[in-house]
This record gives sequence, structure tokens and C-alpha cells, in this order.
Amino acid sequence: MIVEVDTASPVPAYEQIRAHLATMIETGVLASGTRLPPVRQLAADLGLAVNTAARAYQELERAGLVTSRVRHGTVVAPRKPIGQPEIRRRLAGAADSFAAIAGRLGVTPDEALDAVREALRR
Amino acid sequence: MTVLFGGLPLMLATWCAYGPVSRARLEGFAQKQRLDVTVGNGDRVIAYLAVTRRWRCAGAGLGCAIGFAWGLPEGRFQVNFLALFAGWFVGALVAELALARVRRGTRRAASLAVRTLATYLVPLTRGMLPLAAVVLTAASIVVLMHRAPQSVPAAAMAWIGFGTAILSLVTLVRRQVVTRARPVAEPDVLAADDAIRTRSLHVLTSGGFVLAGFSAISAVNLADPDAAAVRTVFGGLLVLLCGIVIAAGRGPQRQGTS
Repeated sequence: MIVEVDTASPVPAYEQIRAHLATMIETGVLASGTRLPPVRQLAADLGLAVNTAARAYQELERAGLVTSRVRHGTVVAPRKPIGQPEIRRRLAGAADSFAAIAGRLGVTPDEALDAVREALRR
Repeated sequence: MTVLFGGLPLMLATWCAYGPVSRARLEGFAQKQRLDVTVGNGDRVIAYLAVTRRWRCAGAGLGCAIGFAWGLPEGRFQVNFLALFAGWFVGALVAELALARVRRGTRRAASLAVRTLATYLVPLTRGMLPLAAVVLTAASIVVLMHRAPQSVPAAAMAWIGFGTAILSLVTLVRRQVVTRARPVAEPDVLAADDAIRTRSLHVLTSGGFVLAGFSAISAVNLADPDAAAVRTVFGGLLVLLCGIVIAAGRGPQRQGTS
């Protein structure tokens, strides 16, 4: 398992690391209890400042995806199943993105809904 | 004459440091580290052997020259083996720092596999530096017990300080060896990377243990000169033997090694 970073991207490096690890944790690629590499190791491997890697871990800890303890390092936290409110929140986010793209394309609401129905049928 | 004798070790070191890495040396490294040398990882191993040889030889030559110069004011024309070894070891430390430099593009990747000292050293070898720290602490207690604090020879305390500095430096560089950048690459390249780190950590642990051990013996000898010869011979032999055993260690069996 690897984590990738593009330093030329406008997205901050810590956010790229956080997003990469968060996806792996949420999809179960990184099982709960898996130990993540120490901040110094990850920073050295990616050629980033230690603070950058540390911030990514802090964001993950704040989101409850990992736990950090002295001498035990950072491990993936036990995951709870995603609840209905979270599902609705994510669905609303995806719908917002779709609506924004449909608006930029200049399609009518009916045409946009037809496209969604077509996609859901596939 | 003095310039000739002082410059000779440096010239010898320069002669040893350059030139291609021999096939026998490469095969010896591969055999000791249980590594299959391939087209993919050969260059990496050869570069490692060349860089470490260059810096260690340079350090040994400089240490020898300094040891020689040290004895000149007292009219002694001799090779100080402790200075030679200390110089060699400082060269080994510098080589590890030189190996840490890597060129990178904008797209970078890192493995999520955790690396620790335990990945490269067996528990006995990992315990040698803490043991050296205990020996050094015991030596400083002996020095203080044999002499009242006001009359402790400054040279004895300098030896304790030297040993402590070496242990601290080795601890820092060992950490750097473990955490320095590891490529995301084919398994044979990763196996070579593991072998290189294992070798470096064994050399650093061994050298640090020997220098700290000799520092402890030298400090105690200055505070209690009565049995200095016995202590130097038997203690020195024991420390050297431990150092050789550590340096010859292979590390834990890993995947990708034969």
C-alpha cells in the first residue's frame, strides 16, 4: 500500500495525504488496528516537512479515523458503520456537485434528472 | 619528514578510497546480507559500497594523521589505533548522512509499511547501545568513587564525555538511517535497500559500542591506574570481540532475501 503526493498540485500536500489515507480507511483497505508509519518516516519518504505529515495525521485523528498514542504510534481507529445522516450528507454533497455541473452546461432540470435516472438504471 | 609521515596515511586512504568496487566485495556483501544481486539493484549496492568506502577511508586517514600529530610534541612517532578507528567511524557516520540525499520529482510516493530498528536488527544487537550507555554510566560512577569530585582527572571526564557524545551521535544517525527515504520500487530494489540499511545499522552499532567501551576503560584507567594494563588488555579484547560479533550480524530474516 502506498500513498502518493503531487507537490505541483494546488491542493496542499497534507490534504492530499489526508484524503488518500481517509479513503483507504473508509473503504476498508486499511483495516482497523493497522499501524501507520511514523510521521518522520512518511515525511522523509515523500520528501516533505515533518509538520506537513504531522498535520495530515492530526486531521485524520480529528475526524476519528486514527488514534495516536505515545510509544504506540498512529493506528487506524475501529470504524463505525456509516449512519443515515452521513449517507444523506454525502448524497447531498454529490447532488450539489452534479447540479453545479448541469448549470454550467446549460441543461434544463428535466434533462438533468433524465441523465440521473439513466445513470441509476445502468 | 614529519609532513611525510603525517601525509602518508592520507595518501594511503586516498589510494584505498578510489577505484571500482571489486566483484569480490559485492559478492561478499550479497552473501552476508542474503541478497540476490540483480540488474535492477546492482547499481544501488555498488554505489552504497563506493560511498561508504570513500568516507570511511577518508575518516581513517584523517584519524591516523591526527593521532600521529598528537604524539609529535612528545617526540612519539607512532600510529594511534584508537584515533584511526575513531576517524574511520566518523567517516562511517558522514557516509550515512551523504547517502540520505535523494533527487525527487513533483510526483512522490511512499509505502505505508512501518520501519523501525526491529526491522533491521535482532533484539541482542538492538540492546548493545543501551548496554554501552550502562557501562559508561558505571565507569563514571567508578571514576567518581575512586577520586573525590574535586580531584577527578579532567582527562577521565573528557573520556566519559567523548563516549556519551559518540552514543548520542550514533543514536541520532541510526534513527536517520531507519527513516531516510525509501523508494517505491520493484521487490529486488527494496531488498537491496533493506540490506543496505541492515549493514549500515550493524556498522554504526558496532562502532559506537567499541568507542564507548574504550572510552569507559580509558576513563577508569585514569582514575585507578593500578590495574590499567589488565583492564586495557582484557576489557579491550572483550569490547573488540563484541564489536566484531555485532558487525558480522545479519539482521532478521526478511521477505525477498534468500
